[in-house]
This record gives sequence, C-alpha cells and structure tokens, in this order.
Amino acid sequence: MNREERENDVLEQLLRESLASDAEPAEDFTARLMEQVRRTPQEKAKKQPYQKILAALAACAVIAAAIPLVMPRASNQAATSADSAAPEMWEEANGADTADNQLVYSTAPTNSSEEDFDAAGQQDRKQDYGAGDTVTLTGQEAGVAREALEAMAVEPISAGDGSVVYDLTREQAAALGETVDALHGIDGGVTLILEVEE
Amino acid sequence: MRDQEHIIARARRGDADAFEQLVEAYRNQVFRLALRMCGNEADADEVAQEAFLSAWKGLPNFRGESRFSTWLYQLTTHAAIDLMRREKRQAAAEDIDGITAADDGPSPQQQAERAETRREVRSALMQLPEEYRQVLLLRFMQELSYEEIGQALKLPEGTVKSRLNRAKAQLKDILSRSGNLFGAVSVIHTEQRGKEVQP
Repeated sequence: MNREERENDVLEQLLRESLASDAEPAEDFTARLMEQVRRTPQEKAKKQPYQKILAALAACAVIAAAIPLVMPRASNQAATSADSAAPEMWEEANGADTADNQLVYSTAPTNSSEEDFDAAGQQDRKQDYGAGDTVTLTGQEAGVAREALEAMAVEPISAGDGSVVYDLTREQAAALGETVDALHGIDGGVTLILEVEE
Repeated sequence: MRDQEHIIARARRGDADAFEQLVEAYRNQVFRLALRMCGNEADADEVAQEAFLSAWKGLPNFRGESRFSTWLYQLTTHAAIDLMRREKRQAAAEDIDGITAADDGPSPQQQAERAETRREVRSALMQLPEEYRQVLLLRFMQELSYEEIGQALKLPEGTVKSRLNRAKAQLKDILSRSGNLFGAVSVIHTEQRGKEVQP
C-alpha cells in the first residue's frame, strides 16, 4: 500500500469517526411533526407513464368506436342539408303552378335521391338566393327573362343544347328581378340558366 | 422489511399513524444527517421536520425505486441545502461532537488528540462546497453505496465516484494545509500499534 492509499484510508476512517454521532432530536420532535402532518394533505399520486399511455389508448379506442356511430348520422344530416337546397319545384304565390313555370335552384351538385328528402326539409324550402347562386328558369319565365336580358343588352356566356347561361352582376340580377318574379328582391350576382326551346 | 413495506404502503394511503412509525424509526438518522449538513441543532431540527413533512406529502409518489431511507436522506440533504440557501448562510461552524469514545480505548492523551482531530475534520467538512459535503455524508455517515447515492442525488454512479474523489481530495488539502491530516495519521498509527501490543 503506497502513501497515497494509506492517507486515503486514514481519511475515510477519520471521516467515519468524525461523522458518527449519537445526537438525538428534541423529545417533542415527533409530536411537533405529527401535528403538522395531520394538518397537511398528501400530494395526489401522479400517473405513471404506462398509465398515461393506457389512458391515451383507451381514449383512442373510444373515439374509434364512436366514429361509425356518429358518421352515418352526420352524413345523413349533410345530405339532408344539401338536399333541402337541391333542385326542386318552386311554386309562385300568384298561382303560377303549371309545369311550364318552373324554377330550379341549386347551390351545389348533389347525387342524393329523392328518397333522402324528408318532410321537414320540404317544408323549410323557400326562395332564398344569394351571391354566387345558380338559378335555372324554364318555360314561360325563361322566355320572359331572356327577352328582358336582350333588352338590357346582356350577353350570355354560353348558349346551346336548349340552355343559355348568363353570368349576372348584382345590378343586372336586381334589374331582372323587376321583370321576372322568380328573381324579385335578389341581392347579389347569380349564374342564370335559361332552359329554352329553340 | 416486509413489515416496513406494509407500513410504507399504509402511510402512502394517508395513514398518519403508520407515518408516525416511520418517523420514530428514522428520526435519529435524519436528524444526525441534518446536523452534519447544517452544523447546529436548531437548523438540523428545522431541516429534519421539513424532510419528514416532504416525505409525508410526497409519499403517494414514492414508487420504491430506491430504499425508503435513501429517499429520506435525499429529502434531508435537499431540505438542508434549501435552508442554507434560503437563509443565505454557510453551514454553521459550531461543532457538535461525535460519539463519545469508549473507555477501554487509547490513553486519555490519545483520546484527546483524536477528539481534536475529529473536530478539525468536521470543521474542514464545513468548509467544503455543499455538493461535496453531501456526497461525503451520504457515503461515510449513512454508508450508502455509490448506486444509492446516485439514486438519492439523481446522479450517474460515475459522477458520484468522481465527486467523492474530488471531495476527499479537497478535504485532504484543507487538512494538510492545517497539518491535521498527518497528525491524524500518526494518531491512528499510534492507536493501531497500541492495540497490537495489547494481549
């Protein structure tokens, strides 16, 4: 054993001796402490990482199980909502209820069948045009609209196959609304499709 | 041991009576460690109370990854360091003597020399940075293994070893400068020789 090792041993021995103690806390130490302990709530146990992972997996499973239950209802609602704005017959209040006097109004293409329509949806349908809407007129009203547009010197953006398409500004649509009841009170530009017999 | 696990489990669930049994079992060790960390009984009392209270609060999160005593020593050293930092003071130089020497040991003169050397060692310990004092106390007072010290201080075992070596080197340096290390060597050697010649 070299000198350094010997000194090291001595130091460790000295440390043990020097640090040894028979000191004791005051007699009332435990009583004072327990008084505090009984007034102090314990911390809540933190979740272990594996518990967090299990909780996350359980949440994912619940969501995965809930999706099939919620999705059909949501898609039905969406379909109903779209259908309520889908092309339909609109009858004029003035009794123009002939098949020749039809207005077809749509905001988006839809593949929904008529079976998807529900009674409440049908009741809610009403004329409610806005900017960017596509309005289709057929029959007599289409003819009236076409004459009015020609008088206003509005050119169609396309024509052919029995339909003429106009892209109307807000002002043009409003002016047309003076002549064509179906567009009365419209506020905003629309795409107007006139189905006419050549 | 199984009894103690049972008591710890009860205390974890909020059983204050079970916790009181743990306090009774560890109060002396915790107090002595606090005493060596702080250097005076008033602070040691405060630190020991704080350590046990932290243990009570934190018990629901004690997972038994280390021994309960190791965890308790960790709380004690942290409480001591917190106290000293909070009060912005160094460990008190006030010396609390160690265990009284046995009567059948060395001669009165040797005992006196030895007592003086121990006082010098404790004084030198108080001059060490907290982190060095901490590892020396856990190693040579609480007799924790490197692994347990690592658990208590949340340090890798390698860091514990190197910190212990640096702590001892600095302590040796302090004692050498005051001439006490060599005095201690001679005292120990004298005692050992004395024991060898005794029948």
